[in-house]
Amino acid sequence: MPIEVRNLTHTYMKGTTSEVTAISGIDFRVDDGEFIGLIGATGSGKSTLIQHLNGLLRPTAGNVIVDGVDIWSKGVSLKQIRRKIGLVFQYPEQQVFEETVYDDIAFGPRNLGFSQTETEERVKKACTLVGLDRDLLSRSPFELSGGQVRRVAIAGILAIQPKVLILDEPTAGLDPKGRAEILDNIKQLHESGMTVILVSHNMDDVARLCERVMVLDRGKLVADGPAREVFSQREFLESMKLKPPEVTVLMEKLRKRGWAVRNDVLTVEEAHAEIVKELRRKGVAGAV
Amino acid sequence: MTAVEKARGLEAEGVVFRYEVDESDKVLALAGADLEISQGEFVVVLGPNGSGKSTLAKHFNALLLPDEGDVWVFGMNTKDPELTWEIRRSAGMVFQNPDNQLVATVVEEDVAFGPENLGVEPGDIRTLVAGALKSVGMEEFHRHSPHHLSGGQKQRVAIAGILAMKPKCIILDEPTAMLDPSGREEVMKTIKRLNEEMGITVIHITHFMDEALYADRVIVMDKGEIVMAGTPKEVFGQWKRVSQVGLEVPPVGQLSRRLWSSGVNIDPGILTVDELVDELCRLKSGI
Repeated sequence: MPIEVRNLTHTYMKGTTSEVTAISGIDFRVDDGEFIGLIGATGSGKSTLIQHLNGLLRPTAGNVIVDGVDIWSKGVSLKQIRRKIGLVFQYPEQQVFEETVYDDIAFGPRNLGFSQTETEERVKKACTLVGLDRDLLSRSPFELSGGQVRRVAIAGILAIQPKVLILDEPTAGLDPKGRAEILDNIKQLHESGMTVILVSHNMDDVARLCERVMVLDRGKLVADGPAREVFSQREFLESMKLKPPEVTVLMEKLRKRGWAVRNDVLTVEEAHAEIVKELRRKGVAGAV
Repeated sequence: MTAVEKARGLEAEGVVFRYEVDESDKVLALAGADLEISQGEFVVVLGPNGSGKSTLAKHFNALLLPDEGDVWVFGMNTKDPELTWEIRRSAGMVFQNPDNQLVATVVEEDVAFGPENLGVEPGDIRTLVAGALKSVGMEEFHRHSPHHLSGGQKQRVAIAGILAMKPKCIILDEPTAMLDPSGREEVMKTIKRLNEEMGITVIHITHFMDEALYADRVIVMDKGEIVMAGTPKEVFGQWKRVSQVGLEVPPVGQLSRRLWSSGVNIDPGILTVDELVDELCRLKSGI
């Protein structure tokens, strides 16, 4: 179910004196099974952009085409679009409101008119996908830890069984363990075939997980390519108040001091391998 | 006040605190916390969600009072109701969400809110506000509306609001959680400067491990107790313990340790990019 975005522009409060163009002239295509990282400073238009992908915002100009059909053309059911493209907002636990975890996750499927049996199956499946203990289903969401509530909110979207999952800062405010667990769940969802778009300020996470990275700057899509290519352009990223992962910066600094190492390293493991290789090549004692 | 008392910083002595869930149910948030923070220290507090970090921080601002034990803020016991306002003035608090902390429609009015409440003379307020905004690098924005500032700028205004009350200590409870990387850096550099140049004691709570590198001392909390304390190198050097409590060593620290375990002759405790680059270059050139 590919998504195509053509010349997308969104202007808030158009025609008034407080008119603000949040995004403009954006073009890209998302294919099935991709894992995309969307990065950009606060106010660069990330949230505005993703809200167009499932029809929560209507373009001021341009098109959003899902499965070959413009979602704003006549006769298209936006409800159907939102079933296929799930969007998890920032701090989704603020939208958790039901009395039990079960009811909260079941909200989507019930709303779509699924039977009780079907709903129950979907809730259970969603719990498994996010690693949520089924014993928690009868509890109040307000008794759970921050990481658990975050997973309840994500499970609520997964219960709709979308083909594309868009997450806006899913790990914001979580401790390292909670963050690692959520990212692990997302990685597994992608491996099981889901298309994932991850909006994040955490460059280490994006570098480690995403194959493709899109960069927004003041409403424009200024880079779109493999994570390695995007993150190896430090000066370009810094001009947009972004930063490559620390290990990428480290390798670049080593290169400047004469090391023959790659500058497109993204993880601790890769950096380790490159440094050891170079030390061996130079015959430095101790580098086994 | 005796000479000994003058030097006292912030002290928690056997602090036990329970949150009331309902009449019959109480959750133990602090299980006998002991901590001494010297004047002028920069302390970063790490720990998983629910470990008691915020609860402890609120004790240093007399927002919470211990069920058992005592908390002393610059020699003042927080249990003495007559000292509450002086404690809050000398140890101000900044919270996670900047939008919930800024109340006025103009930046300088927001910063003036604290001293106005303390009954400071209008002329002096002007000087305090200007000085506070200058200290956080926001003087140009004094006539702006806080709502049009970036997250990092809003937090700096919130910090200025505390500074205008001439505190000895600033307690920051996850002030960077909602900011982008450049906003985080702005805030961290600002509080580091206040600590170094003005000698303000800093207690900074965070989930970002890299922010611990700004600290003189890192405190790790777990299940209502202080379980580790030391310089960033000392704490992250105990990487097994760090991961047991659900935290992680920053990426460069992980890399240094891995290189060291593969037999590369470097200090496994290195945590910053520049230090590791220097160490590796030294090794390669055989010095």
